[in-house]
This record gives sequence, C-alpha cells and structure tokens, in this order.
Amino acid sequence: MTSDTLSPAEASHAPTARQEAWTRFRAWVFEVPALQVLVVLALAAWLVVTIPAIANPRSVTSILVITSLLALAAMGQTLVVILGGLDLAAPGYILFGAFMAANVAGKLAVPAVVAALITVLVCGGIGALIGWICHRFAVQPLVVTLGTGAALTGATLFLADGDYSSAPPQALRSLASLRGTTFGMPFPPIILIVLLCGVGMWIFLNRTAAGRRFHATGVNFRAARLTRIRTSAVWTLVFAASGALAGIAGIFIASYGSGWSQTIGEPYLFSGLAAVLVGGTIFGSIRGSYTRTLLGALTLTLLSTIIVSNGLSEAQSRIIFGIIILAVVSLYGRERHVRDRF
Amino acid sequence: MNNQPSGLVLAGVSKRFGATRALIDGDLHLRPGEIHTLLGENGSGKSTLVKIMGGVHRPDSGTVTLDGVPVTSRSPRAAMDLGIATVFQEVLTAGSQSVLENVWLGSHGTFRRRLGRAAQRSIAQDVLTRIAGAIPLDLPAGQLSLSERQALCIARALVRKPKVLILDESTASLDVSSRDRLFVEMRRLAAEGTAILFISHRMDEVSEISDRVTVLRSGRSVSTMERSDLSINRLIADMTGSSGHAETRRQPHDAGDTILQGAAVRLAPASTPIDFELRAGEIVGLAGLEGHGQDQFIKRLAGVAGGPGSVVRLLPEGAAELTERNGDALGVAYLPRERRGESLFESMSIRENFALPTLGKDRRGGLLDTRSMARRFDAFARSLSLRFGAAHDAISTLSGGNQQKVLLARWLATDPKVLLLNDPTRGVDIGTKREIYAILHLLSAEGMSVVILSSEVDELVDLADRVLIFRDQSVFAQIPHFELSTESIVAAYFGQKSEVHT
Amino acid sequence: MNRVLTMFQRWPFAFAFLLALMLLVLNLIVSPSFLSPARLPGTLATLAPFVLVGFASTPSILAGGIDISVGPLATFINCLFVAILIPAGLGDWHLAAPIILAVAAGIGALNGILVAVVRLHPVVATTGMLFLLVGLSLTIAQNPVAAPDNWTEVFAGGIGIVPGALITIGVAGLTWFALRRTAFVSNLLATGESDVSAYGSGVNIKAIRILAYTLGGLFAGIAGIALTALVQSSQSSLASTYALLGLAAAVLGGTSLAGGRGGLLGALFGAVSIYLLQQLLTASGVAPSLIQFAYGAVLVVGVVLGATLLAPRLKRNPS
Repeated sequence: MTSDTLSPAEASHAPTARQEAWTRFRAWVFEVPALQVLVVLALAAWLVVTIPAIANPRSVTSILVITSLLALAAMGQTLVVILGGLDLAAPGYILFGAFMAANVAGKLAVPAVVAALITVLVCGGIGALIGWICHRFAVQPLVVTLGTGAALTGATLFLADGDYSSAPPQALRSLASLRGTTFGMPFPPIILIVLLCGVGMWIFLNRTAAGRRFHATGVNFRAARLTRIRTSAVWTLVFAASGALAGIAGIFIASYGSGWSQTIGEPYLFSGLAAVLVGGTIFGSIRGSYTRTLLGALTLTLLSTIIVSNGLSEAQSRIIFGIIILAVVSLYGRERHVRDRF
Repeated sequence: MNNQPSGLVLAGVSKRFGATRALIDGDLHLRPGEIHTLLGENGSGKSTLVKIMGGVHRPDSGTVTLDGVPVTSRSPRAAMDLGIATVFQEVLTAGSQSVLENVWLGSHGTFRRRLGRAAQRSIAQDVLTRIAGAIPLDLPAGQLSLSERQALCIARALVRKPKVLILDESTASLDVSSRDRLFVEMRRLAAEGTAILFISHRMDEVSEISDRVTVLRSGRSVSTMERSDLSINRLIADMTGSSGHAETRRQPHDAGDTILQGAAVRLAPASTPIDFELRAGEIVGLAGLEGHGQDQFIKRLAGVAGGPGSVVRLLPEGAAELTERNGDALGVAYLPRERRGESLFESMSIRENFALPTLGKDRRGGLLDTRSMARRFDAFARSLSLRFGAAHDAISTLSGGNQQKVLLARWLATDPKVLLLNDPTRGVDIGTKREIYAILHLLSAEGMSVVILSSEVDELVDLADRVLIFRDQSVFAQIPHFELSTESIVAAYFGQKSEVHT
Repeated sequence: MNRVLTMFQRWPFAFAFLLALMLLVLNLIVSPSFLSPARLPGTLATLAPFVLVGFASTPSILAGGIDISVGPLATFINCLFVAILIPAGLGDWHLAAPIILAVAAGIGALNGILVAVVRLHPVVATTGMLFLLVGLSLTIAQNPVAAPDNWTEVFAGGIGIVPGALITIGVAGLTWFALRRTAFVSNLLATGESDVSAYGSGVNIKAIRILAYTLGGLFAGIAGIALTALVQSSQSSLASTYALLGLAAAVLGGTSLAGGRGGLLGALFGAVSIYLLQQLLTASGVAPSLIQFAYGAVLVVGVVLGATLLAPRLKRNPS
C-alpha cells in the first residue's frame, strides 16, 4: 500500500454554504410551526379545488367545530407530552364529562354550570392524584393513567347504569351546535372558546414564569428540582389540568353529538395524540406548544374530510393518519443519535 | 515490511459540528509501547479527537490509520474490532446489571457469547483486582461508588487486550489508590507494546506518567514533546497560548460571624457526627477519596439531601432550618456536580438557563419581561467574561467551561450569602478555572461564604482558608490555612495526620 | 419482613406471581371446578392471547422503548389469516404459519427500524403503526368473517391431554428461554438500562433494538394464532381491547418501563393475574363495569407497589 491511497475517511465532507443554509432553515422550521401552516393551507386549497361546493359557511363551520372538539380533547395531552409523559386516561375523562352532560345535566336537569364544575373537580382531582403519585413514587405515568382511565370508565358506566339514551340539555347543545351563534356571529361558541384557549396557552407557555418552569421540568427533571422548581406541584397541576380539560372536552363532545355511548372517549385518545404529534410537539421538548396542536387538529380534520369526500372509508383514513404521523415526525421529530448524547 | 508508521496515526483530521469547528487539521502519532498524553483546555478538541479514534464520530477530512491500514470505524464496536479500546469520559455502566455483565458488556456478539462463564469470572476478577481491589462480581454495578464504576469501565477495556488503549479523563473520578494502581498497569501494558493515549487535566499526573505529550489548542495540535523536554510551564503556555504561570495562593484573612451551622450531621448510621460552622467571607474546602462522604455532606449543607442532625442558617432575626425549598429565601445557593444531569436544560437557551431560578425578578404584571431578563444576563455575561454566540442560542452550543460559568451566574443571580460548589472545575479547562478562582476570591472579599468540594488538591491549596478531609463518612481532619499543602491533604486522604497539628 | 422485600426486589415478577396465586385460590373457592380437566383447555385458550400479547410487549420495553401496536398486530394477523389466507387457499398450516409469523416479525422489524434507524420516539412510531394496522384490519374485514374448519382449532382444544394453548405459549416461552442462553438478552437489558453505556462499550444497539421489536412482532403473530384459535373468525374490533392490555400485563409483572429490568415470566404472571381477576369477578356476578374498575385499580396499585416497596432502588426521574 502506498500513502496516497484514498481511504473513505479521506473523502472531504467540508460543509458548504448550502448545508449551512439548510441547517439554519431546519432550525427555523423547528422554531415556528411554519410547515404545519403550509400543510393546512395546502390541504384547504386541495379541498376547495377538488370539491368547490365545500366552500360554504355551513361546511366550514362544520370542519372548524370538529377541529375544535379534537383540539379541546388534545389540550391536556399537549401539556402532558411536553412534560414527557402520556395521558392514557383521556377516554375515561371524556366519558365522565359526557355522562355528566347527558345523564346529570340532561336527565336529572342539574344546571349545566354545576355539572361542568363537578366534571372539573372530579377529573381534575383524579388527574392531580395521578400527577402526585407519579411524581412521589417515580412511576411512569403511562401505566398509572392507563389504570386510572380504566377505573374511571368502569365507575362511570356503573353510575350510568345502562342509560345511554339521555342527551345534554339545549343550553349545552347550542354551544357546539352547527347552527349556534356567538354574540350574533354565525358560528357556535366552541370555536371561539378553543381559539381563546389557544391564545391563553401561548401566553402561559411563553410569557409566564410558571410556563417556563413547566417547560424546564419537561426538559430535565433532575435539574429542575435542583433549580428549586417545585416539580411536585408541576406534575400535580399538569395532570390535573389534563384531566379537567379532557372532562370539559367530554361535555362538548356529548353536546355536539346530542348524546353519548360507552366508547365515546376511545377515538379521541389516539386522534388527540395524533393531533399533538402531527403538530410537532415532542416528548419532553422545548418546542412543544398548543398552537401546534391546533394546527395538527386542523390538519387531521381537513385530511379526513378529503378522504371521506373522495369516497374512501374510515378504515383507509386510519391508514393515512398512520402514515402522516410517521412522515411528519420523521421529518423533524427525530430523536438524537446516541453518539450525540455522549 | 513497508514504510508505513506503526501505531495509530491521525493526519490532518478535521471535524465540525454545525458552526463549531471542533478539530482543525489534528495530527497525532500514537506509537506502540508508549504512554502518550493529550493535553488541552476544554473545547480544544481533545474529546472530539478521542471520539474519532473511538469510532463515535467520523472525521470530515483527514486520515486515520492503524499500523498503516486506514481506519474507517462507524461505531465504537467497529473500532474495538480493530483493537482500539476507549474508556470514554462519561462513566458508562448499566446500573442494574451485575459487575460481571458490565465488564464483558460489548465483548460479545449480538447472540454469541465470548468465553465460558468460568473464564469470564476469573479474568474479570483478576483485572478488577489489579485496578480497584476486590469488587464482588455479582453486585449490581449501580451499587458501586463512582470510583469503582470508573475502574469497571477501565477493566472493560482491558479485558479486550487492545492494541490501542484510550483513557479519556479516566482518572477524574478515580480515587488516588486506584489511580496509582492504574498507572502501574499502564506501564506494564506499555512495556508489552500497547499504545496508550492518556488524557487528564491534572498536571501532576501528566508529568508522572507521560512518555510524550501532545498539546491541543482551539482544535489544532500545537506541539508534541518528549518526556525529557517536559516542563509544566511550557505545557500551560502551549495550552493557553500565553506564557508564565503565577501562583494565586490565597492570603489569610479574618472571617466574620457564623452564618451557616451544621450540628450533629451524620452521613451514615454509624459514623461520627459532624459539627460545622461557616463564617462570612470564608472559603472552606471539602475533600476526600471518592465516596468518603464529602459529596453527601455538601448536599446536606445545601438542604437537597436529608438525614440525622440539623443544618441551620443563622440570620440576624434568628436561626432557620435549611430545606430543599427555602434556599432562595435563606440566601444559600448550590451548584450540583453533574452539569448535564443535574444543572443544564440542554435544549433551552443560554439566557433561560441563567434565569430559571430567578424568573421572579423579570415579572412585570404577571408576565415575563424578556428585556429585563436580557439586561440581567448581559450584566453577568460581562462580569464573568462569558464567551457565546447569541444569548438565545441553546446552551448546548457552549463549551463545558462556559456552560459552568453560566451556571455560576445562575446562582450568583440569586444573591446568595452562602455559595456551595460541588466540584465546580471538574472537566473545566485551566483558563476558565483561573477565572472561576478569581471570581471566588472577589466574592469572598465581598463577604460571601463559599464551600467548595474539589477532587483537585492543588485547587484547594490555592483557594481555601481551611479544608475538611473526609474519611469513612465523617471528618477525619481539618487542615488550617497555614498547614495547607498538597502533602498534608493527600496524607489525610490516607488516614495520616501530619505531625504538626495534633 | 426484610427477607420478603429482598425477594420481591430480586425477582421483579414475585408480586404478580403472588397476586396470581391468591386470585387462583379465590377462583377455586368461588367455583371449585375452575381447574377441572374438562374446563382447563378452554380456560387456557381464553388466557393464551392475553399472555402472548403480554409477551409481545416485553422485549421492546426491556430495550428501553415501548410498542403499543402489538395488540392491533395480533388482531391484524387474525384478520389476515381468516379473511385473506384461508380464502386464497393458503390456509394450510405449513403455508399459513410461516407466512403469518414472517409478516408479524416483519412488522415488528419495521417498528424496530423506525425506532432504531429513523430514530422516532417509540410511542410515536408505534402509534403510527397502530393506526396503520387498525386501518388495514378494518379494510380486510370490516365485519367479522367466520372461519371454516382450520388447524388453529387445535390450540383452543388440545392434543391428547396437552391443552393446545400450552403449545402457543410454550413456543414463545421456549424462544425466549433459548435466547437467554445467548448473549442477546444481556445485550438487550444493557441497551434498555443505558443505551449510551451499551453503545460506548461496543454493543450494536441498533441491531439489538430492531431484534427486540422483531421478537415482539413474532410473539404478537403467535398471539394472533391463539386469538384465531379462540374466536374462529376475524375480529378487527378487538384491536382496541388488546392494544393496551399487553402493556398492562408486562408492567404488572414487574417489567420496568424505564428499560433493562424484567422478563417474560413477569408478563405471564401479569396476564394471568388480570385474567383471573376478571374470571373471579364474573363468577361472583359483579357487573362488567365494576370489573373494569377493579382491573384499573389493581393496575395502579400494582405499579405503585412495584415502584416503591419492591423496587431495588428509587430512580428519581419519573419521565
């Protein structure tokens, strides 16, 4: 062998200006959910071009209401995912909220506000307990929420005692009804409620000390403790919020559907998680935000509208959801290579 | 034969990470049978060079050859197959696996086991004994002390009988007796023809063990010198790019009132209780062999660990017991030992890493005022001469030394009266170390009390007013300022009180 | 007392084992014929899919990841066999069994590649796969299709006096037992405990991870066969039932979600406990909704006990 043999290691990999621009571009894409906005616009454009008839207020309202319900159901999940966990109790909370709306506020004619309050207290309380247990005993929230969700579902169905035919009262139904109006404007209040939630969450996550401490707890739990962040309070509150929000979502979901069933919460667990992931919020990451979840929910709703209007089935829309999740997350939600964690 | 040089040769090796050029035209020739030391400040490219040799990273350009054959390892495994065994800087053990499994970890194939069980046991026992003394092979590795785990990692490299052995700061967490045994082992291996690359921040170790020394500075290899030409001043000059080495020995001075008091603090069930008083403006050193209680003691002082006895902060209005929560209110700040695991929020910005415990100061009407945060950060960045790109960059873009300065600023921003530092200069380059020393001197002159745990004896000699030496979970000796010397400290490590003070 | 605790800490599955034993005794008290030779094959056949889905969840968790698509994979295999392979004339065991196991292992390997090579978060990767598999199952067989007579019936009945379910569970168990004798399981546990340590020590963690998910897929394939044996029709709607059950079984059996600790025996006892609990409450005439409540409660209590009293040491980081 002579010394001028070119080994593969010798091949130059000197970075070019193009690579640097690419790096900067990627950093920017990570920073703001620009890609998600583009996807939403592209899907909306596609929908309008292929089915011009969809561009009427009624259909748009319908898409937005469905998006709002999904986004509301995924709100708590967003917080839990930012913290680095997963809340599998969501179907239980949603079921309980739906039960309160239909059987308690509807059949028993308890005032809707009281029913909502009970939902928040019960779901929030259970969530708080989960958060506290997970933190105190250092157990993974995955299984604790799974167990609690099953227990809550069982308890709710026991309370319902086989009555799934009640419907929420008119006062609640008008909040999510397609014909509802908000201060005289032609869309139901839920859309405004979810938008306000989005703004509120953005301010909380980015512009308050509590929001930054919450993010820090998700990024590095041990360091957060040693930085005198009250991680126990963070965990308790986040899981409590997740429970309460999912419960409220359950009230709206039952109101929108004018009724409920034993499995009303199930679809929202995985679809909600899909909305969080497609939005680009990743476990224990600084980049997570609720704005992303809103965009994710809109993406999924537009997508299933396109799928259904093209005559494909529910089953096929699941397949496409699966592919979309994998594609979006592979694009920029990849974990670090083990060599970069050395 | 051929005209290729034997051993491991790196020629013109470059590597960049994003915008950072970690290594520029690095050259190194590691000959069989020599102990070659690689020296350089943090961020000088040492670790990158090690990771290239160890198969973690691939160079962007340049060649790596082993006995004339190009090395193109894509993983540590590939490098090991070529006979290059690396003990990386981090202590890499699987805590709930047994010591035996840990020693042989990675030696096996995906399915195929190397050697029989009995042979594995006897070899592992033999190699471990030669470095760390007897360690039970069936104990979970997580129950070992840091020093023993480090020894385990070294044993893992040794059982492979490598042609090239790379020890990246492997002595940093090793206790002194194990280190001496490691040196004996290194000399024996070198005599048998193993090429050894040794990395350490401790000058005494470097001058003791090296056959040759290569100095890296800012990603470039600056010089290589033979043992006969070694001089510490020259090495430091090459590393820092400046000349001259001034001793910064602390002057004795009068301390103020007691501000922190530990009473009957017990670190282990049967150990002697410790009474401790910290006075205003004092710098107290804590030292001992790894695992002898000094780490637990500083955590007790900080209130992050609990146990028998009490630690109280003495304030004009009375005494207050310290807990995990009230450090802020009592003016006690604690900088933990492990930067990455216990302090850094790696994906968050430099500025936020600085501001997290003091976010309350940036609140305007319930919301955060980022301009106020920026102002506070800039003030500290100037006074600590922090080097960084932009304050909103992720903190992971900084070198280790600069990260440590940000963390120091994080705690100084809480206006502490008592600053507790757990090995703050571990893995920090000499330049930054000196800057940190200067800051500590200044702070203590202003009346702040500092407790510093350090594994570097020289540091304690230069810095402290007095040093507590820990042995077997209690204070073995307290060495006052006028008796502080490398010898007196090391003697106490090993249970010998020097004649002077009885 | 301390000795009991030490035993729990040494054997992660001890808690599930004692729980299963206790529930078995209670079951025998409530219905003394519970273990009679006549009922045993049927009981085991109902149990087998639970146990195998628990097995399927275990390797990926040990590798420090998680696979929430194993349940849907088992139902997908069930639909594939009943609604595609049998109608296509590929229903004979010597054709169908290799195809089924290859497809299942292949899907597992795909999960492994998504996690280890594409570097997706395991929850994300397997959630995507879960959507895909549920969608595929529904596309293949939206409504239940009854299966004609086929070879899987053996596994719900028995061969001679050997209950058929012991064969499906046994094959998976023996595969694992054989792997324990190689370096694979050591490598797997080390990778799960600390991938950085394993990588830096020279373990090929990519291969180990992919193989872990592949093994999970293989077990899920066997679970699909056991499920088909039991229901003798395509049941795409069972996907959500089994989705998280395997996870629950594995974790109840003492397998740590942090990776590196646990094993197949734990999943076995965990699944048996869950099954026996349901049997006991059903036999006692408790409402189905309360059975679900009890299942959830046992899961939470088991996990909390496992993480506190019975854990060898406390890991402070719960995430």
